[in-house]
Amino acid sequence: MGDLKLNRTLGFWAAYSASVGLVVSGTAMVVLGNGYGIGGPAFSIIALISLFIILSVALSYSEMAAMIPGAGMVGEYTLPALGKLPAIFAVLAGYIVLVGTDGGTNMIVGGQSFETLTGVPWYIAVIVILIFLSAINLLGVSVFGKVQSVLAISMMALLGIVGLLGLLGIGTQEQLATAPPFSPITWKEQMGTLGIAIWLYIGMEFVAPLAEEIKNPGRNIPLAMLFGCFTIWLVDLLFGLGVTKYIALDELAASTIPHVDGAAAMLGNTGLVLMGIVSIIAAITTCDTYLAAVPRMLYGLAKEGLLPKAFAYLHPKTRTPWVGIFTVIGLTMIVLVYAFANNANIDFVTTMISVACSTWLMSYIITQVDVLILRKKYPNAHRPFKTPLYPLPQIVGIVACVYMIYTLYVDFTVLKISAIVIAILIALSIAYLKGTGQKLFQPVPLEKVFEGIQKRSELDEAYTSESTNSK
Amino acid sequence: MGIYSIIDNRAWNSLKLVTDQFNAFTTVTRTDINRIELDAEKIGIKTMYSSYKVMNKWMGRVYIFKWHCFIEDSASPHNQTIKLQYRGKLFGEKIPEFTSKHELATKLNKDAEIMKICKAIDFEKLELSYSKRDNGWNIEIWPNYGDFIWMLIPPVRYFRKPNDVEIQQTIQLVQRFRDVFTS
Repeated sequence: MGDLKLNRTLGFWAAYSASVGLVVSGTAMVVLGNGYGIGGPAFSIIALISLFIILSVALSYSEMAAMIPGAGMVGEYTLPALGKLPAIFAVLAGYIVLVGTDGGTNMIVGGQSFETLTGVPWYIAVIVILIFLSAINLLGVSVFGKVQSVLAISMMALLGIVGLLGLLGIGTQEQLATAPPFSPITWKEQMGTLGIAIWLYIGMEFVAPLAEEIKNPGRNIPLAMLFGCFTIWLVDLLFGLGVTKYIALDELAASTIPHVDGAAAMLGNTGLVLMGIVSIIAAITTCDTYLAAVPRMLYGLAKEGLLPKAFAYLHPKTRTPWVGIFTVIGLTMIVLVYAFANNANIDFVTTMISVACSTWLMSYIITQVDVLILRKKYPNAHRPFKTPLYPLPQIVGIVACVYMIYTLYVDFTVLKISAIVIAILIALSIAYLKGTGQKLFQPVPLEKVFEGIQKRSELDEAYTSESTNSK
Repeated sequence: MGIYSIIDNRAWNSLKLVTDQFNAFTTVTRTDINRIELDAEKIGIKTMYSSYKVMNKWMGRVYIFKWHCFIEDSASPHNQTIKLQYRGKLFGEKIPEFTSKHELATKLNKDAEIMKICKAIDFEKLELSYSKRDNGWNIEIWPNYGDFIWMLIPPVRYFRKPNDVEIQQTIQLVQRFRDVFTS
């Protein structure tokens, strides 16, 4: 490895594997099972529509990630377009809310799977797991290495195999006497599930930050995302169509762990144990990832003066960033305590996923607006990847995201929790910016953003020299 | 090429970026996967290289930046290990302290320059091991800069370069260890 520079060495399959590599989580499985339970086999069409919407969004991410290859992602794209307040909001709404809601909700899904397998109440399992994970992270002990690829592949493979076995009727339990209706709800109601269907593809935009290393990015990135999402859709389709032949839609819709119940209905105890174990390990490792990675990031940002100094605090003995770790534990606990008070039923789980979806979609909208503003403001800036058919994907993406947020906010509880979360985020952001004497909406010049990236992260010299003359 | 090799490439690139920051003091002599060697003689020691300790997670990876140094010393009579630990109350002042059964730890603890650097830089780990067989000290330093963090959900990659003070103090620390060992 003589040259460590980011060369364009990655072809289509590498981009594809980045796109689908880990687009799977416990909560995504819940959305899948619950979606088929509510919408029946017709949910496949809703999933396909949301695939094309997320593709439009991912094109914007690709353009931005290639143009401003900073570690701050959406925060860094937003600084030269909209200013500091929207930048901080985009990061907090897109990332921190996601960590809080997804971390807690995944734990509930894992805990419920544990309860189904062992009979131990879910909250006891969750508390024990959380205490254990918190302790090992506070003490700086590393565990769970090498499990991630096995888990991701086994989860996707299990879904596909279970679905295929179900469709072919091999080694399975008795099928339902009557096939479910194609669409048990109206198409208007089906469209209402669009907002949550996007969760099936969560994380697929990860291919975007790799835009600099992908050969022929204009062709390979959209193709990889399209093909990648199509594969996920296909696996989901197999599972969804297979499972609905064995378990009643109502049962699937009402379950907190529909993927586990569906596998059990199809393959009996084997399906239950297999899918249950995978779900528990997935929950544990997701939470462990958040506890290991996010506090370190917060530590680094605080050291750079971008976050309050408290986050740079290390425990004298264990040398781990306790404030950051307790922040992640706190975020997870909010969801868990709320779940305990509300009996952690499926309504609660989907509500939390919907809250995360809505703020995540806002972060998507901001990224797409960034593309539009920066194209106008810096037309000649260095753009290794440009969105094809500009500005159509951005317009389609923004309209679709607004519509999906609307479908989520039809549920008053989602609206209420989101409003509280957003108000807190904005208040904290304003307090921090005002407290440190920074302007809320004044865009930061692109050159300044590049300077910042160069100081603390990775950036080719070519960017700064080209951007200075690009305005 | 899978997703992890893509992320690994990013991380190795970050390792190079961090290590290159030290070019005011010395130069890179050899670059391998997860190991970048510096011209250690320029700073008066035998070897110095950087690497990452990789922590695999399901939804991400954490690459912890490490320095490895070797300082020749044939004077010590036996194998020994000295570790840096921090004491102090929660949210109070941190007090660095080298711990070992051997008296060299006391000498390090009394060295104002070393203590000042250990207070200034947050070290996750600092371990000095003497090997009689190799006639020298292996030093492992985990500073809290240079770590590379990658997460899938939400999609984030992050790493922090060391600032000028941290760079200078890291080199100063290694050179001071050499001086203490050979004095």
